[in-house]
Amino acid sequence: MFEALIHYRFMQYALLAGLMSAIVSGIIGVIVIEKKMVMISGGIAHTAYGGVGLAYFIGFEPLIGAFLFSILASLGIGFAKKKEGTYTDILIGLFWPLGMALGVLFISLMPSYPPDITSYLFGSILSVTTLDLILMMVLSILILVVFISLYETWKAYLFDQEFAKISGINTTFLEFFLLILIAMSVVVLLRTTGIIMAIALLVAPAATASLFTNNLKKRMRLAILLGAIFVVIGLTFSYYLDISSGCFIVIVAVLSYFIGLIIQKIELNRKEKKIHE
Amino acid sequence: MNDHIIVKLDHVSFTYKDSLVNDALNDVSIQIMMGEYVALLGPNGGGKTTLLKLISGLIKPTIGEISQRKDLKIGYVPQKSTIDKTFPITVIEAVLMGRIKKGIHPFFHYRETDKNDAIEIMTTLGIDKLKDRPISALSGGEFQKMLIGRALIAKPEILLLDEPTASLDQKSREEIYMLLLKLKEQGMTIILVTHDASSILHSIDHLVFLDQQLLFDGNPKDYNGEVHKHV
Repeated sequence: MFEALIHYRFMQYALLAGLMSAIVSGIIGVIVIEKKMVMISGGIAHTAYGGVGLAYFIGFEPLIGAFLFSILASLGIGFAKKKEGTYTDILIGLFWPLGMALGVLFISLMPSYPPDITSYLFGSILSVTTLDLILMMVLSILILVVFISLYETWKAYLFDQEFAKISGINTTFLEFFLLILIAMSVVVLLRTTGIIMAIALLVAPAATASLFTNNLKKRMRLAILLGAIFVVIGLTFSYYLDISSGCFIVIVAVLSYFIGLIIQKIELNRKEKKIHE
Repeated sequence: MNDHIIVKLDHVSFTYKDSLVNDALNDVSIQIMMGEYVALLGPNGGGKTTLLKLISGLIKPTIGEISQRKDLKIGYVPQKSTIDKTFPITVIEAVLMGRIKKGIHPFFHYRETDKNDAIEIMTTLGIDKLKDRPISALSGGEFQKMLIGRALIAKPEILLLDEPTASLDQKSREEIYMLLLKLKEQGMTIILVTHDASSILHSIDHLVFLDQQLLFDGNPKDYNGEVHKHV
């Protein structure tokens, strides 16, 4: 595979796309877990499918379609959250299938032979184009800059939203901003894991990292590292077996969480024994 | 507004958006004087936390008006149970959050003086040795002190505390009450929501009893026995 990495541009693109996905999901994933926004992220991701369908139908870049739809979904969910009660949950349950339904509809309406869009559903890291890569890079850099530059503010907001509000932080702005960051992350992950499995790369590295460190920065770094490992493993299998990258990434990521749980349990038992001795 | 009045509620009512029937608070008018130690008592669902949130500015009254002294610095200590105890930060990181800069400021960092102040406050609270511990490793009492430390580091003029002694052991409770008395002696205005009426009646200046409406507002010495039955 290393030889391919040196010789083939598609392999270089795939690796770059994978690493960007790992960085973005490491940061945003930790936040998504802490804020218990996993289902919201799932809703935003699936709505993106409508955008992919529309883009194919009208004839523009599918990733841009996905971007527009996921931003709209995140704003919709943001407004619903402001309304209290169970409204958000209902809206997620509606956006999720609506996005998928629109995607199917637009693709079916296409006059020409329908394109193979499984790569958007399940990820196809080996077919990342230059334009995909540029878009992914722009979004990743934006996410990184926004997150790092406002790190302390995000931290205060994530820990205790009410206290942040009393301290004069515009928490409504951050709430919407966070939803938009999730939408952007989903687009970055689209080519790597696909719409259906984007949640896995958001959740699994962050959840696994949460088993081993109680420090927010370290947790994000570990999640990035784990994400990168999962992506490289997924890429390797995808290259040799010619099967979608997303499925291997997801299987490795989810397995690693359970292995992490077992390791954590063993560690805890060992510590307890030490105390008793 | 009189110079000594720090917060004034004028016929304030509040209804939560998702509640169709009851007002959480109905027509409440009270005044809090500077330097007062106030206890908010009342049954669960009586509107104590709602009143505290109204004073803090977290929520706005549905009807009525709240006026505060200009540029009043408020310290808020939320109910411990509402905070995520597994959040991956250390004690000093949590205390420092009281110094977060207002607004959205790219590349904001806490200064060395903020860190020194945090350590000083943690020393006063007796939790300085825990400064690098993850907050998930704290006992209930330690966690509560950390939340108080986070409020105090902002140098508030008024401290609002929502059931700071709930689910704490006797020793930790006493420590918290001692601390509040000390703060009162230093001139801090304190509003405390509590169920623990018997422990504080002798030390407070002003008692407010709420059951959606104001049932008592005045000197604890005049505290009516009938209301007392509710406590």
